[in-house]
Amino acid sequence: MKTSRLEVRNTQNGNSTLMEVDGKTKLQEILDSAVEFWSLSNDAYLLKCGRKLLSASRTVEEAGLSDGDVIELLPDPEGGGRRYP
Amino acid sequence: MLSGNERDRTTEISTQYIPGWLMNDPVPAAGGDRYARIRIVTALDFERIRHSTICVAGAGALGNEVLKNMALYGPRKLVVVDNDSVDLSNLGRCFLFTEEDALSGRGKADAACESLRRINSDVEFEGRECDVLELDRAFFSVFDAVIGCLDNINARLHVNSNCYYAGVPYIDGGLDGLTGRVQVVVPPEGACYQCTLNASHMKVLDRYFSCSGRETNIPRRRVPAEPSVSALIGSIQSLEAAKLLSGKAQGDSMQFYDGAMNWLENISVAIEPGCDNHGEMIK
Ligand SMILES: [Zn+2]
Repeated sequence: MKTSRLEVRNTQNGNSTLMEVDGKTKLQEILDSAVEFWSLSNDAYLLKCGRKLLSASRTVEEAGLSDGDVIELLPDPEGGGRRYP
Repeated sequence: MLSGNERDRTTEISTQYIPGWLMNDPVPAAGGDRYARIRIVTALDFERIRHSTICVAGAGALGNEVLKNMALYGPRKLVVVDNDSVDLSNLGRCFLFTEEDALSGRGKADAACESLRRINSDVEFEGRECDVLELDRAFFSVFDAVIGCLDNINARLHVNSNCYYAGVPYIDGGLDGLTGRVQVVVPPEGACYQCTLNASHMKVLDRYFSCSGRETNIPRRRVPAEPSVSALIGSIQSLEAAKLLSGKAQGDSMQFYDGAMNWLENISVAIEPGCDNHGEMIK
């Protein structure tokens, strides 16, 4: 199967890494790998490509991603500023 | 003192430099009612905003900002939902609360309503001191818009789906330190909050619930809330609400702000095929 090299960028610090994936790789696997690679906290994250939010349940192929595309990892802000118990 | 001639010359010189467009400016002179300046913002339908009924779920840092802005717009009625009480640690971010509120452990919804009445006595304010999870579709169905200033994914999912099934627009906001986001959900065709979630959100939810589905006693992370970011995100939510009430909603999008990296971006969101909220409407 054809593989693609995607650039995954961490929007929190501007760092990026290259990931070699095949078309059937789920975007959730990319998200999980990036969180693990940068040793990020166990929180909620989103993926986007350009100005489009990516569905993590899709594969690289289904999302229309190809060699050289840049996808960005965003922390999903969860709070509303209320005090936690 | 100027002589008559000198006074005439002064008048002549001072008007000579006023540009023509300013002389013909249609903006009315100072005075008028309290909404005189908002009303002339023609991008908004102020009369529709004035006749609206709004619910703000959550009266924390973000909720304070949204409530203040919405009160200034002067809707017909503003309902505040929060089951928490005011604590001293809230005072660094929540200007609607006082030291007396914190020392007496007053409910946030009640304390917020009292301050809001001082901001705009035209509006009917109602405080609901209850868990948002106890509120159902019938409760949400009476509003023109619901603004979520909540602190966890579970509460967001609850409000999002109830509003979606009730056909009521939902404007969700979230904060974490210097980042924040706003999503506008416009049923029946727009993508919803649940459409944006993935397995990382489910892991966060799992930490809150035991295998039996009940909330665990594991202490939750305290999400940092910075006053300036709260004000910014709350303002975006309020403006989106005003646009929505004016018939200018832009659903299917999320505005994301990162104050550390200095960017604000509008990200498009599509309906997730597996999202429960877009099947057949529950009757
Ligand atoms: Zn959805």
